[in-house]
Amino acid sequence: MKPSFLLALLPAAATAATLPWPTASNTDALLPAARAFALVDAERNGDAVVVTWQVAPGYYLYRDHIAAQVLAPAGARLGTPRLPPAQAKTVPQLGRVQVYRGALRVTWPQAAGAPAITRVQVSYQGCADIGVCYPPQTRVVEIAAAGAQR
Amino acid sequence: MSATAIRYLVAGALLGVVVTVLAAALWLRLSGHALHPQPDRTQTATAVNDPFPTDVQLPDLTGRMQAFSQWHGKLLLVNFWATWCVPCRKEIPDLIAEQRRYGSQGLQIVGPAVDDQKAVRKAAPDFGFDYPILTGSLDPMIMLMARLGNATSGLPYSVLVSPQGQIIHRQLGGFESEQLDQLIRQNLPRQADLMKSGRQIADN
Repeated sequence: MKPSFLLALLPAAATAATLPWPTASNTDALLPAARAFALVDAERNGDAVVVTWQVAPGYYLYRDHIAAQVLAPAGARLGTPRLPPAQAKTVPQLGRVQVYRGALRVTWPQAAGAPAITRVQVSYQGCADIGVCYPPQTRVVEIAAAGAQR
Repeated sequence: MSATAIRYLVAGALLGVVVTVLAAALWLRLSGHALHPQPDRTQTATAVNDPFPTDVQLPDLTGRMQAFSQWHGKLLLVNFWATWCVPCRKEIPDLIAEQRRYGSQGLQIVGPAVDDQKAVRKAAPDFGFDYPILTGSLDPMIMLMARLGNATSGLPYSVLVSPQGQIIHRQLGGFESEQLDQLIRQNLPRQADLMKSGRQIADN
């Protein structure tokens, strides 16, 4: 077998790895929001609540639309979230916006010694690159200590 | 090492790369991994050629309920949108232009907003809508879209309804200007049907 034959197979292998993809004419391939912006983990890590998303390829979350609100215990508060660096995206009519793709981990600090937060309402919003946006998503998540059995 | 041995070594390495990539692609497809969006099979609540539900009504910006049945006899384009939806905002000037161009020939566009009512009221004047904007709470609006075939709740979402009340086109995502114009021109009611429909409404 000649190496040149194997080289010719590489584009085919790459193509196989990229199908199917939502396109402007194939919006049936659009994921439901829960899979497009999968909230995969929410845990208490020291004096902080850490929420992790896995944003599917072809989709993005708006940085400015990520928020969390404490539901329990009453009176507990979260600090300003620590967000990782975002990608700049130029959007007609909005200008440059900051978005996240792929894995995203956001940390909300708590004051040291404050009562452990056990339930949080997380909200976020995003779009698909093909030009479809999803309504704001809201999820209530129970917060377990890092490494705890769920 | 001989030249032949080097050739076989390179061939073996390339074969390994190809097999690995193909195996990864196969695993991703078989495992349903979210790397590649799959078709959403639930998006079949209503289909093209189904009748548009006759009981739908939503409040307009003044709070007055508007029954969709009032537009029976017209070519009705229901365009779900939101102020936060950039692709929605992009196509609104085209929708306004189409309503202006074909309104007298039987086109009626309506825009249910999947959005906060205050935000819609505040933004509406800037758009200069020449067709009715309807509002509603988020969850009922999402349920209405699902009923009309949009299970993902993505926006913009449009449903074109014939003068006879049948769904003739559904579209998730914005229209290209030319596509929108062509779709409307192809489905405008005949003038005779429009006059007949006008007489029926007057009789009622």
